[in-house]
Amino acid sequence: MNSFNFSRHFLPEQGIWLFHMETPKFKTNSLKCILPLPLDFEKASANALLPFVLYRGSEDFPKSIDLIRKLEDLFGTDLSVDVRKRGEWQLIDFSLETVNSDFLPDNNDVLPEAIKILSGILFKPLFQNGGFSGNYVDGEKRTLEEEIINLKNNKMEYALERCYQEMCQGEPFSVFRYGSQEKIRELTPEGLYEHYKRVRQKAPIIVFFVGDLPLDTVKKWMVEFFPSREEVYEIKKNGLEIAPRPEKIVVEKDSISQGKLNIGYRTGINRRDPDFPALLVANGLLGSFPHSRLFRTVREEYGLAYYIFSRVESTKGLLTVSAGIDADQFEETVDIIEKEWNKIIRGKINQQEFEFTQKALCSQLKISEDNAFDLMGIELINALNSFGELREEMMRKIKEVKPVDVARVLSRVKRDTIYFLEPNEEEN
Amino acid sequence: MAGLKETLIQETPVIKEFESGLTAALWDIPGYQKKYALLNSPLGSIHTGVEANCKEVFIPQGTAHFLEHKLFADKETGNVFDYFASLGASCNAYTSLVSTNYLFSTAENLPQCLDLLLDFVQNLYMTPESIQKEKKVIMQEISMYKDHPGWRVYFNLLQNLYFKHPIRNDIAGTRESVQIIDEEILRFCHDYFYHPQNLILAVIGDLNIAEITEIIAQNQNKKDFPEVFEFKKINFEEPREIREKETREKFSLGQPIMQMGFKVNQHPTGGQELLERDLAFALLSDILFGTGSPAFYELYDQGLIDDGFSAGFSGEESFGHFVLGGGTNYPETLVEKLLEILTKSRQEGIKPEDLERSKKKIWGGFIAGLNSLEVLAGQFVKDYRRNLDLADHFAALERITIGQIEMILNEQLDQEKSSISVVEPRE
Repeated sequence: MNSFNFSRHFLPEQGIWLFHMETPKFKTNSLKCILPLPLDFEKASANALLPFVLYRGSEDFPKSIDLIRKLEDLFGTDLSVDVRKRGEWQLIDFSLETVNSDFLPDNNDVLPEAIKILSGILFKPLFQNGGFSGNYVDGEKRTLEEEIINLKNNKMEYALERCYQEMCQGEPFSVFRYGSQEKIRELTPEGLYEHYKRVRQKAPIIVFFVGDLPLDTVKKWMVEFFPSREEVYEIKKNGLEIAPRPEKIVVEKDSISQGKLNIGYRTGINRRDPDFPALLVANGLLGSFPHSRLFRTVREEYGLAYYIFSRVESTKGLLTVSAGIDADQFEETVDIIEKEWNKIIRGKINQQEFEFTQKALCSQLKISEDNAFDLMGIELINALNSFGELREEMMRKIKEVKPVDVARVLSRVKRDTIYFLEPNEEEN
Repeated sequence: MAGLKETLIQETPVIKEFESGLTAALWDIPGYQKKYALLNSPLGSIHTGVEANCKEVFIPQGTAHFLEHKLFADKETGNVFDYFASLGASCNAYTSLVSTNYLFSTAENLPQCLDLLLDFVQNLYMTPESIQKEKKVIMQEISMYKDHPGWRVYFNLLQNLYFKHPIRNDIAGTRESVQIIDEEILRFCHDYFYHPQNLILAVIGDLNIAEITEIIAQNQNKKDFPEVFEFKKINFEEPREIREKETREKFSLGQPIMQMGFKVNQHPTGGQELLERDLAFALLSDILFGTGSPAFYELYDQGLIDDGFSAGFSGEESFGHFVLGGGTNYPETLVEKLLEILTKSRQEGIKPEDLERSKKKIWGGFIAGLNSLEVLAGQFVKDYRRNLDLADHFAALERITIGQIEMILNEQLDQEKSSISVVEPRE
């Protein structure tokens, strides 16, 4: 029986951390290639632009359309690229999914070819006149700028991002995952290429594989298709220290019909902290499930919101509560949240909701086995926190948490910023 | 593309019909931790009127969605979410154009979860107070969608394309329509659309089929159901024309969003035909406007679209529309270009190699989707209502010819029947 844990390997020549899981469970083979880069105001835009420019064309496939058509021909191989933020890491993320050879005519495996294409994108980019292709750089700069402008189109995400920015002003975490429009505009094909050379040489590469192929095969392809590199830097964990400071309340207006409330808290707790399992239970008790306090009070009891939930950012050590409410219910909602929070700290937790939360968290961890990319996501956060705990251990620890641990852990968490995106009066 | 069908056919559910009239598909997929169940009622947002016992009954906009909320809210016996939580399960529900769906996923206690799912969906409990409270929550949900420009631009487009067809209504209804929903209409809809004869249950995961069959049979046998009354969906005479050529709405947003829609007036009736239409449109969209099409890069390089651009078809027996668009700084130019691309494609025709590649892509995407129990269950229910199964998808995909795609391109995308919806920044 498969344990659904990754085996972990370091390929020193290539500077690759390989996380491998062999299972016949899925109809596809999935491979994710992550380049973790330190989040930094100066370099964030260049880091963000890079993968999109690389994906436009390589030495082997100078034209975007040829590259995409080649992937389509490999029975709809899916290669997607994105840039994410986890703690103060900016992650370049290439994800590859190919149909398992069992389903293909003549059982031909398309994965090695797909990996070769991916490696070409990463290591053999299209180089013209001392830099990247001017056309590709211009096109992707425009798209990235539009992505930043269009953050406003998703009010929930926009309000959360604004909350983070206000809360973490001056800290790298306040940088948006795509950087800023100003910095994007400054980028040139030559400058970006110079930047690329450093990333290519120094950035560690984390590769996750989930599928029906043995370690040796995947390793062999990595060694064969990925170049050898020197000077690869280490993955260092984020610092959580923050000097005490007064609470901040920020209210901004927008032409919207529903106000978006976000409350940001500092937990000071990452995955390595012994209190981390208790923090997960506390967050679950407070707001991450429909049986949680906030859903039951703010939505079910008072009918103030359709959505209200809390979540934990475990790499930077944050917790946020988000809700969509009417403008005149701002104070009432903040009060109810505070009241429920304090009740938990005072130990007013009933056995039933406590058990529900433990069960739900363990169930989530168990069920993650059914999705290759969920498994990779959990392992990725572990890798960034130099944390080696298996899901089974985490489940055991969650079951051991006591109400008193939850009360203690929540009393460690400090409210930092209340951000409210308020509807203009004329809209209502 | 040979060698594929045989492998997939191994994965078929066992279909059971129970005395109550309930149909259940039990699908054993060994090796999965999750067990997932989906209970589907054929009441969707587009069902706004029925003829029952020779009497016309008007169903207010948003009723299907309201009923979904109401079945979840507190029962006389307690809170549904809590019951699922006590079993280590999580539950949810959603309302679509043509159905309402209740679901849970769990790693344990499957029999108890199934009992619970059937009980809470088949038992409508309400008080005047609980109806009023739910209205407040739904008002917040309507406000949330109002702030979503991608949603607004689409519904504005549907309002342009259709005169009467209820597809032009928001799934949650309007602030006004929700106010008139009352106990009587909820009860009426529940009696009919939630009668076991009209429900489909899909259960999927690592299952003991005999045990699950027994659980469902016991659950259904202990209940009494009202007699099923004679019933007819009211047909609305939807004109072939479009209602409005263009609408613009100001919004607080970054970049404008433009969607262009074509009203499709020829509707097939059988399941196979509907499936073929869906697939032919999917192939056409991909060949003409997908990331492997020359048009995509032409528009992209001219700065008219970004990677959020999409083209796709949505249709059932009573409606159909093809929509293309996305964020753009130049809505007018983009419209012109899209029309040019369509004209040019009509002249040049579809190339066999493009069709072949696009088929491979859609096929690969479909296989990848089958990793997910949610996708399998959802696909099953949709297929079952159309009298189809998984193998039909592959057979239909293989069968589709250039002729079918060109027919759509030449005959069903009429510029006269097209409309434009734009949301744009205030300043």
